[in-house]
Amino acid sequence: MVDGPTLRVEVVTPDGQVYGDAVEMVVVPGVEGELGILKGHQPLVSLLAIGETRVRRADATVEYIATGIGYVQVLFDKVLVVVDHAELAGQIDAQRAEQARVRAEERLQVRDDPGARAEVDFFRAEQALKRAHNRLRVAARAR
Amino acid sequence: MASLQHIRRRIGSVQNTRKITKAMEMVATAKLRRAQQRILALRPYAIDMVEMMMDLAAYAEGTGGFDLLRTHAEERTAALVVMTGDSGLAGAFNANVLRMAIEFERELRGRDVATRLMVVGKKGIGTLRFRGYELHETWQGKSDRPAYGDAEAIARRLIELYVSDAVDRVHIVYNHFTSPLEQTVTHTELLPIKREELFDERRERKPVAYIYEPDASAIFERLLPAYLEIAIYRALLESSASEQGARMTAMRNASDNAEEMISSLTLALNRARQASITQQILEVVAGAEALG
Repeated sequence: MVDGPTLRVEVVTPDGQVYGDAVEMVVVPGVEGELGILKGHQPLVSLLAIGETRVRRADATVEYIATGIGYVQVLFDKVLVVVDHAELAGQIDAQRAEQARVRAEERLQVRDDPGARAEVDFFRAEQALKRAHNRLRVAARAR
Repeated sequence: MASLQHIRRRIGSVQNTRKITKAMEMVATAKLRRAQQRILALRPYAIDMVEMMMDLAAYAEGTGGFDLLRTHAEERTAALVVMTGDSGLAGAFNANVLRMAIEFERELRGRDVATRLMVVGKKGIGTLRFRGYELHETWQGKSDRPAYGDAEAIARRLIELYVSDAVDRVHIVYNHFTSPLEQTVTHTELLPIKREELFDERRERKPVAYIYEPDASAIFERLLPAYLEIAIYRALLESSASEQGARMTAMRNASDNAEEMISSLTLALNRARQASITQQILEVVAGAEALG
C-alpha cells in the first residue's frame, strides 16, 4: 500500500452522519484532554467533551468540526466519533450561534431572581451556552 | 326545495373546505416524509451507542450501583410521560393516546401508586388540564420538529426524579409509528433500564484490548443517559410521524367526503334548475292556452 490517508473517520449524530472520509489524522476533545489519532493507533474508547474535532486530510487541509458529548472508538484504523451533535465549521451559522449565546446568558442571569427561577432550566441553558461558545470558536477557527 | 342560490352557496363553501383539507393533506405528507427520514437518520447513532454500551457492560458487570439500572423495590410513585401533538385535526391521534394515558393513570391509582404526569404537546396539556389532572411538567411546541436537545431535556428531568427517589418507575405512552396509515398507541417502561437489554451473557467479550479513558465502568455510567435519550427521541420522532400520518389520512377522508358532498349537491342543483325550467315552460304553455 502506498503512503496516504488510510485512517477512516466517521462522525455520527442522532440526526445522521455528519462527516465521513479517509484522512491522515484526527484530533478529538477527550474528557481528559485532546487526543491525536494517527494510522496504527491502539484500540481506544474515550469519552468526549464538548469541543473541537479536527481532521487533517492527506493534502494538508484541515476540517474543523464542533462536536458535543459522546464517545470515540478507534479500531483497526477506523475512528468512530459518536456524539449528540456535530457541525462542520463551514456550516455553522455564526449569527445563530451568537443569538443562542445571548439567549443562554440572559437565561442564566435570572439565576438569583427567585421569581424567575422556576421557569428556567439552568442546566439546559448552561449546556446551550457551552455549545454556542464552542460553535463560535470552531467557526472562527475555520476562517 | 332549497333555492338555487342557496345550493350554489353551499357548493362554494364545501369547495373551499376541500381546498383547505387538500392543502393540509399535502403539507402533512411532506412533513411525514421528513419525519420518517429522521427516524432512519437516528438508527446508526442508536446502533453505535447501544453496541458500545453492551461492550462496556461486560466490563462494568459487578462494579454494581448504576442508578438508572437499579429497580426500586416498591412502586409508590410513578412518572407517566404522555406524548401528544401540538395541533388537532389529526383524526383520533391525540384522543387515542390520551385515552390510554387516562386509563393507565386510573390503573396506577387503583394500585395505590401516585402518578406524576409529564406531558408533551399542547393537545395533551389542554385536555388533561381541562379534566382536572395536575401536570407535573409540560413541554410544547416540539411535535412538529422534535430535536435531540428536547429528548435530552426530558431525559434529564426523568433521571433527576428517578435518582432522587421522587419516582420509582417511569412509564411512557405514545403513538408508535407502524405505517403512514397505522399508528398504535404503545406503553413501555423507560426507567429503570432493563438489565437484560444491555447485559447479555451470550455476547462475546471483545477480543480486542481497548484502552479506556476513563475506565470502562465510568464510560458506561456516563453513556447510560444516552440510552434513555435515544428511547425518548425515538418516541418523539415516531409520535411526530404518527401525527402527520394520522392527519394525512384524516384530511384525505375529509377531502373525499367534500368531493362526495359536492357531487350530490351538484345533482340537487341540476334537478332544481331543471324543475324551475319545467315550471317556467308549463307556465308559458298554460298562459298561451289561456290566451288562445
